[in-house]
Amino acid sequence: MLNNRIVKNGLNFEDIKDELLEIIEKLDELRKSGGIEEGIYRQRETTSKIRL
Amino acid sequence: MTLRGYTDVHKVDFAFVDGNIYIIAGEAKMIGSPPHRRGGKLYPERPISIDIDKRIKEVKYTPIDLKRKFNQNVGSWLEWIEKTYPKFYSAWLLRLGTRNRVAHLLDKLEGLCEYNNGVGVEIYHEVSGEYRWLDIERSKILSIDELIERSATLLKIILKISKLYYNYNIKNIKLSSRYNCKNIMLQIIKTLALHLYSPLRKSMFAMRRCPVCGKPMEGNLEMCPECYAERKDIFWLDDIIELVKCPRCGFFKIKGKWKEISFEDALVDAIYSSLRVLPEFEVEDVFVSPLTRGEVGRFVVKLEGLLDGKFVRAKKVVEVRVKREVCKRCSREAGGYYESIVQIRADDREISEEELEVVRNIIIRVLEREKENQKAFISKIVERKEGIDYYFGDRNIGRKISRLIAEELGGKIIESKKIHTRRDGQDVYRFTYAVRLPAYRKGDVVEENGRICIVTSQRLGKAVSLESGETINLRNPKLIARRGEVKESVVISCDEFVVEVLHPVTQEVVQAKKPKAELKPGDLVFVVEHDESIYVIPKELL
Repeated sequence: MLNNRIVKNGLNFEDIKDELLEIIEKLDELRKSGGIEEGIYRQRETTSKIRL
Repeated sequence: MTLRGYTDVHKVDFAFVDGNIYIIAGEAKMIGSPPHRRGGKLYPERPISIDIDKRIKEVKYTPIDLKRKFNQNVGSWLEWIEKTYPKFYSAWLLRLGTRNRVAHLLDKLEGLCEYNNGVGVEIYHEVSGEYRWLDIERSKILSIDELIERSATLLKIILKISKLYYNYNIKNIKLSSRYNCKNIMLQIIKTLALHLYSPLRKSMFAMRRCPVCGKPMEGNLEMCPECYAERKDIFWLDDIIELVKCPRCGFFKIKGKWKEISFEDALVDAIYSSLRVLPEFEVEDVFVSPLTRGEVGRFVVKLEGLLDGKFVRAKKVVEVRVKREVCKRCSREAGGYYESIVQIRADDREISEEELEVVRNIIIRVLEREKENQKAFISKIVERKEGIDYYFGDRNIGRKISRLIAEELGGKIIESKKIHTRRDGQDVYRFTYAVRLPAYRKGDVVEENGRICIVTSQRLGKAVSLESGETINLRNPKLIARRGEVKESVVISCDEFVVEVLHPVTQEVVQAKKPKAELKPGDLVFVVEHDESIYVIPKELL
């Protein structure tokens, strides 16, 4: 999702910095409560490789 | 991605590799985590200070070992780090814990700049339950954007100045590691890197131009097909083409075999054997033309065809030499070599000139057909009083010819062999095929089982009985008169059983048995005298 937008819109790290921090924050919240399920932020193993 | 260093194997997060040369390598590190739960167990906050020293040591050692693989002469340390490949970059995303001191961390990371070609750092911390970025003001430390831009620029420069720019496939930019929640930073960095490299990919495919003439081009060649054909060899041919020719028979040696072909065909064959063509070049035509007169000298070989879809021409001048070497056949023939003898004999008579003509034609026909056979030759012909002997270089030729003669002229073949020598422990024989032509010929009058007959086919051994008119197979015929000995006569009178004719010598009227034929007075017939009896042969039978 974010990856796609970076490539599609030509974003730099500076452009996604705040969004990235929000993601990390959410992830940390989820980690505090137990774990992160595959889906929103965690890709499945089979699709985890970057296709070039 | 795994890279082999001077002493160890290293797993790095991203790298650009050209064959065995590592151009770029790098690591992304994310350190520090808040209190979290895993497997039902609660873990306290993990500050950066616990892990950072180990991680820094890794990122210090890996580039040194990788660089040492390509350059062991360190000399000036900073210069060695700066100039030696692979260029190594590390990106850091740090979660500042409650007990961490920023200045202390940045000092450590600044120290890393003496080991890496670029260190990019981003730090965030928690303020009132919210995450915020920290501003970093250190001259040696880069932002993540600067770090990626630096590595991508380097890659662009490298690819542009080298041939890789034209040949490289974006797939060679390999980014490793798998996406998971813990190293999301790494994923972001990879994606950013991919994004920065992607314009390069476009330029590689969409903007490829010929470096010589500047025309847009496609395909895998270094230049456009026209420039390539002008400047490079699109086909290879030996400078000297050597043909081998037998001075005796004029045959050419082609791929180890002697063949009766023209000089032009032999030359084209030799050129095709020596010709090697670029895989992208589809040859449509090959032209060979002499620059000098005669068979020896310089020849131009021109090729036309499609190179990467474009019509191109290319030529090369070659020197043609003709080496003289006596072929096996001529060498054997001259040495009187033979494997078989065909003896032509006739029973109780001489062989006629017509029969000899038939034999000669058969021999010529067979030898013509067996032209490529190196043993198909006659080494000797011997005329004897009882017949004629032909000596052949090949055993099979002798057998074939004797069978054909027997089929054509009748008679039987008597085959015999005589040991000639021993070769490789095996007996080598010479074969003799004696063709015995029958005593009778077509038109001859013979007696078979007491019946007087006229031979109708020498080849098949058939005759017609004069009395009954039926065809009989000759088993053991006895010759009564040759075709030439039969005399002409005229029918005087004729009834159901007897015919009266004039005796050819005495001109007396003599009686004979009437043959199975319609006869009337005045008819021309042939007569033959045997055992004081006269036999009348109707004209149609001869």
